[in-house]
Parts: sequence; C-alpha cells; structure tokens
Amino acid sequence: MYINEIYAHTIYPARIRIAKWKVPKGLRTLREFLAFYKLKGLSIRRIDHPIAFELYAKFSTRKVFPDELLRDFIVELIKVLLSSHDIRVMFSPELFEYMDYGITRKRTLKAEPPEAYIRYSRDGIYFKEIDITHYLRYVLKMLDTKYKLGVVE
Amino acid sequence: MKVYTLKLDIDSKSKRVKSEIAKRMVFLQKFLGNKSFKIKEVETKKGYHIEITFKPKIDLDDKDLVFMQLLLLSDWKRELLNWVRVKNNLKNWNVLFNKKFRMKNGKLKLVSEEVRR
Repeated sequence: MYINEIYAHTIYPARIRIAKWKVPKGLRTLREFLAFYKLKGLSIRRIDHPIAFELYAKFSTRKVFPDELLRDFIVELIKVLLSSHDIRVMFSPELFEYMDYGITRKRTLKAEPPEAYIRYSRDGIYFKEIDITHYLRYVLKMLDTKYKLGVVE
Repeated sequence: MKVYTLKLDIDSKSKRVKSEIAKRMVFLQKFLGNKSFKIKEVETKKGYHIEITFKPKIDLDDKDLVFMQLLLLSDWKRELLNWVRVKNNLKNWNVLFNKKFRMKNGKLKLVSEEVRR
C-alpha cells in the first residue's frame, strides 16, 4: 500500500530592486501599498490574488503512483476545480500554473482515507481552508478506471 | 515521553553549513536532555533533506518544532510559512517533497529530486 501526498504552493518571490521613487511614509497596509504601486504604473493584474496559495491532496493506492500520472492527475484536478463556480470566482486559473508541485510517497500497511483542501492567505497572516475532498474522489475515480491504480476509498 | 520529528530542508552542500548544523544539534541535544537523535539524511539537487527523530524530556508544541527547524538552518522561507500554518492550526504543516515539479506551458517539469543512497 502506498500513501501519496501531493502538495502544491505559490509564493510570490521577493523581487528586490533599487527603487527609482521613494515610497511615501505612512503606508501601513498591503492594500495601501498596492494602490501606491498601481499609481506608479507597476500594478499587478488582480489585487485580490492571495499572497499564499496551497493545494494538498492525500490518497492511498495499492500500486505505485508514477510521476507520469502526476501530470494527468494535476491537470484533471485543476479542470474539475475550475469547473466549480465557487473556486473559479475566488481564484484566477493562472494561479495553478505558477505553483510548485511536490510529491511524497510512503509505503505502509494501513491505508488512509483521501483528503484534500485548498489553503489560502490574502494577508500573509491568516489562512483559510476549503475542503475539496469530494473533487479529489471524483478525479481519483476517473483515473482509477483508466489506469487501474487500486485507489483505496 | 513523546517522539517528535524535525524535517530540515538545507539548501547548501558546503561543509561549513554541515558542521554548523552539527554544532547546533549537539547544543540542542544537551539543552533538551535527550540521549540521542535518530537522523535520516537524503541528498537533493541543491542540498539535503534531513529528518531528525528524538524524545526530549520536556513537552514541545508545533511552534517549538518550527523554531528548532529554523535554528538548525532549515530554509527560512519554508519555516516562515510553517510558522504561519502552525499559528492558524493547520494540519500537515511540515512537508518535505521527494520530488518537486514546476508547470511550464501546461507541462510538469522535474525541478528537484531526492537521491537515495
């Protein structure tokens, strides 16, 4: 039995450049800073992009989950997530392209139930969690019928 | 006594960093009063992934573990995010990847991988 954990995250890289303009004093919040940034013509496309955005999925399989399948799995999961109105409204589809994807596999005797969630933080301090286990189950069912991985429910 | 696991992501292969980690580990071991550390080290493209299992005499919480990981020179960005996750009571906060991929033009490319010895 294998427990597969897939973890994806986006963190905006800290770009340090010598400023050609001085940041005025008194900017206290990120929103104020972004508004100032926009004034200078350096705005990012959406100001409601989360600062941290993570996706976690855990599931057990009887066979090894190969790397080649990871791509299919992620593409399918993203497709399913973006087809849901709630998630499409909250997050831009590009976010999934900026992510780093990591996988860890553990060999165990006991299977664990599938579990998946999206975590995001818009201010860098507080995280919110959205349970997406039902989407994961749907994708796993689809992949299992196609590749016979022996997914344990 | 409870068993704890520290997961370190070291982004350097230099001997200086390794000896610094060893120095800090010895001090931490004396400070926590435990007899031994069980260490598992795996090489990656940039550095090492280290897993340390230990049984301290005192009870520790997740924030203490994040602090110790930072003390033992784990990637500071990772630890900052770990700390935020712990602060928000999130599960599965301590993750180290066996393999890491990045998406480019809709395709996943292998960025780093653990090398088993």
